Amino acid sequence: MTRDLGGGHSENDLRPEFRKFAEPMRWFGTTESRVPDYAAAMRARHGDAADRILIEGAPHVMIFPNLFIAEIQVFNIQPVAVDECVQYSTAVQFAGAPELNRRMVSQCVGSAGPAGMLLADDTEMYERNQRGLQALLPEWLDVRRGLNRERVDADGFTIGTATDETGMRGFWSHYKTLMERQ
Amino acid sequence: MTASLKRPEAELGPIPDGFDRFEVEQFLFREARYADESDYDAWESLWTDDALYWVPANGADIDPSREMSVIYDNRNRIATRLKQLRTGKRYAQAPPSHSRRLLSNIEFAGGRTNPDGGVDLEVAANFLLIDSRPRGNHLWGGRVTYRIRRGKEGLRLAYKKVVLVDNDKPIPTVGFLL
Repeated sequence: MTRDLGGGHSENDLRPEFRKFAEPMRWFGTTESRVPDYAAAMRARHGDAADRILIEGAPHVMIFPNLFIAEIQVFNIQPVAVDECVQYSTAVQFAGAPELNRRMVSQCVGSAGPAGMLLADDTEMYERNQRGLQALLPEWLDVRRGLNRERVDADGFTIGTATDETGMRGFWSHYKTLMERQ
Repeated sequence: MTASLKRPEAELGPIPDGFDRFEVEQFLFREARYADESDYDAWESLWTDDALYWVPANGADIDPSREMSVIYDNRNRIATRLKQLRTGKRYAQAPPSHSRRLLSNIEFAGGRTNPDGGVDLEVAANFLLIDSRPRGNHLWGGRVTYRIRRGKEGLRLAYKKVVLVDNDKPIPTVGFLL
């Protein structure tokens, strides 16, 4: 689910999906037996809580205005002109986890970056959105997806389903409060 | 996920016998043409099973197991990359690039012992590539190092490393084959 955390921050909370499967390391696309050193170290350190951590995985969170952490990758988005941003990406590295770190570098290179099997397509979408924005007619970029089914969770945050634009609405509504004359 | 992609690097030895310059150049030009024309099947067929296709970022001699590369594909990942391109839903290549590249300054660099016990020919060249996309034209250039193996059915590509001249700067999306 997507969650508007307020202040322009948002997350795609994938934990409900991973809890359904209840398989350690599924969030990383692998199994515990493939990363035995990491899993053993986590179990030694976290005891009973380790299972939950290994099942739920790492956050997928957008920190306003330009830091994005996607489980194993970190992105920093730098606007350099009114119509251009540079997106830097690198692998998350955990202290004392060389086994997982090697895999995170390898997976990050495979999926993120200019030729990444995920990110190259995402970037194409950013560019098409920019072209749509510059077109002026129609005047608006539409970020209404899921507006009709938003709910408020137990903590008071607005939530939507996984592909709803709840996070984008949270980002831009906060941006507007910062950029408008008080 | 595959196991570690890193493999030990053999020392660069003397240029091995049995590689004719014309044959090697024709092979490299063919590889370039397949990439330019998005002929994925033909391009894939050039690679050996132990292939490595590498485009480092932020320098030429980085440690790919610890630092970021633009591409660091073993044979499995080359297959995955091409499979994705063949779906037609690789949006970074929909529509496909129109690109043409020039290879020049082709030098025979030496030989490297391969896992089969033979010696691969190492060749280096400069390249210049113009890529035409809806966003505009982009000029790519750099140094390519190839390792070429003589197989039963002619020459095969075991290694291709592309060091972009501007790999220390932000670069646009690379949906095509460098």
